[in-house]
Amino acid sequence: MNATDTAVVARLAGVGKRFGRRAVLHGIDLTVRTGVTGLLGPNGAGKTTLLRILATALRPDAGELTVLGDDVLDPDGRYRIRQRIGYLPQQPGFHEWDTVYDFVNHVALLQEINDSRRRQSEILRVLDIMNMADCMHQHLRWLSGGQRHRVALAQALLGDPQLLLLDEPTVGLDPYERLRFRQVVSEVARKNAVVLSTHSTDDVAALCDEVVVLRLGRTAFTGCPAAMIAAADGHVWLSDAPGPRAATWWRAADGHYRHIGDPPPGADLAAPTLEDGYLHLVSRS
Amino acid sequence: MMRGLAWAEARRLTYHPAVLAGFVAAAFLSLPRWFGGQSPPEQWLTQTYEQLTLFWAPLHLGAFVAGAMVALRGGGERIDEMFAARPVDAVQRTRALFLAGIVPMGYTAALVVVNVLLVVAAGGMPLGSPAVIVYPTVVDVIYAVSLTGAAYAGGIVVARTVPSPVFTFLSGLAATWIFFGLYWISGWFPAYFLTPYVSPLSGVVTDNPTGAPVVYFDVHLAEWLEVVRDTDVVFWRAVYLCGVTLLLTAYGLRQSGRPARTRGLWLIGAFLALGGFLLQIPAYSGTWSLLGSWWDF
Ligand SMILES: Nc1ncnc2c1ncn2[C@@H]1O[C@H](COP(=O)(O)OP(=O)(O)O)[C@@H](O)[C@H]1O
Ligand SMILES: [Mg+2]
Repeated sequence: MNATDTAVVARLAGVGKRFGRRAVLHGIDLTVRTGVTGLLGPNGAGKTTLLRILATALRPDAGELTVLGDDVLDPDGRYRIRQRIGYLPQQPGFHEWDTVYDFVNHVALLQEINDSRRRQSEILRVLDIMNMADCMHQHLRWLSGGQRHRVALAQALLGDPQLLLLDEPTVGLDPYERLRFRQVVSEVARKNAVVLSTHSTDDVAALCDEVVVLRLGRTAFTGCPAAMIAAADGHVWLSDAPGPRAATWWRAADGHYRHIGDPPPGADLAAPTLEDGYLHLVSRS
Repeated sequence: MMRGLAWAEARRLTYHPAVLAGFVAAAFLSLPRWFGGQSPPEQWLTQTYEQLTLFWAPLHLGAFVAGAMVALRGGGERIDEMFAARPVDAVQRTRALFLAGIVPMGYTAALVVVNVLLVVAAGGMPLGSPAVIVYPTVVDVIYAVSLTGAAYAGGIVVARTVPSPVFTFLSGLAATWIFFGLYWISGWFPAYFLTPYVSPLSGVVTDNPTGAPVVYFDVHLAEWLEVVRDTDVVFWRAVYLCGVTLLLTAYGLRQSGRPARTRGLWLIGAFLALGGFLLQIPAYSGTWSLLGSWWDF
């Protein structure tokens, strides 16, 4: 990769957000580059809030945030950002009685793809990517959950956005759809940036150049997946009996007990996986 | 950018089931009775003219329901989130929705003009006794179209305020039908000048039934009434309804965000609504006329 391949796409400095009296994000510093950035963290850690702020759907109330060179607090800047990003909310909404085509067409108009020829080919392009071209004349109301999800992903791809924000995009996908999704995201990430939140360390291992672990509204880790694995070095133990002093432990399929944190007596050190790294980061008190 | 979306919304309304159903029902009610080439038989002396506007009611109800249905087309807060990161914002989306009201208004204009032409072809409508022959006016067309606009805007605003299909449908019925069916509900001042429906005729008590050109006997009042055409009142009601439409539009835009330029809409809407309302009062029963007779077909 050369320098332009990993251009800075978004820069956050001290970004904070509160809902009423409750602080949900505290001073987030982060640089998003071309490629795939994965957001990991327990439920309620602030992943959705962070993605909504990046998507200009929510205003941060502290700190500075530039996306694609524009300031999110400036109305004109926000408009220019919106022309160049794609966003999949965690809970997508649809015009239920529209056909897939009509709905994506509506979104394309909201994306200001006004030339009707270009709009049509763009709609077909994104539906084709998500394997939905065959059912584009079906009504959204009658689609399966997986199909609706693919429509939601397709609309996020309209206009080939420079920054694609995906909130839990792999929830509810079957294994084949998940592979297909990975293929799409890695294709997009060759020249653009993707930020996605997920609960699956498999997704992160398969896709992400960069991982951000959020915990209680703070970044608990930022770095590449290998560094996240390395963070658990010396903290993963195998033994024949459970050790209650460990931060977390479970009985693995091979009958051994796997511990993260303090080892039980007589335990052997084990090589950590990405999941161990994640559990180590979020289970520390 | 605005245009593309407004076009798409307009195209959608062109095929909208509520708009089409209203059009078909109104056509079915209003047109066939003129096919014979003569005025239909009357059960009372002002029936034909009074029913002319009544039979257009499905157009208004259809527009109201269509407005409500596009406003409630699903998604709720989730759809707002889905569209939150798009350059075309909620205010522009709402503006496109209101602009698309041109389509049901166009349907109304088309049907009403056809109806008027059929009446003209049938040699007009008899009014009162002894009967004089009258023709519908341009003002009747303007009025019907403005009521469709107000109904459509009302449908959007009601549905957005109380997002319940049942409630919205019932208020649509109330606004576009019941005032006509239960005419007596609004037969007092000032409600008479504020309801969606306007009577094109009024009756003035007369002492000399044989001297007046067009009279009928009102069984409720037990008096002879002279029939007066209230074309001026219809016109000012149309102006009032245009004002109401603009006010509803301004309110709808306001609901979807903080648009920079609703001030003008509020001001013009209030001016037309208030002016249209007030000017009906002196115009009532032909006491004062601005229009003269230029509007006659
Ligand atoms: N609109 C809101 N109003 C109040 N609290 C909110 C709102 N959105 C999120 N929160 C709170 O902020 C915290 C972080 O939520 P969220 O960003 O959705 O976390 P995650 O996506 O990581 O599960 C949660 O505790 C949630 O209850
Ligand atoms: Mg979330």
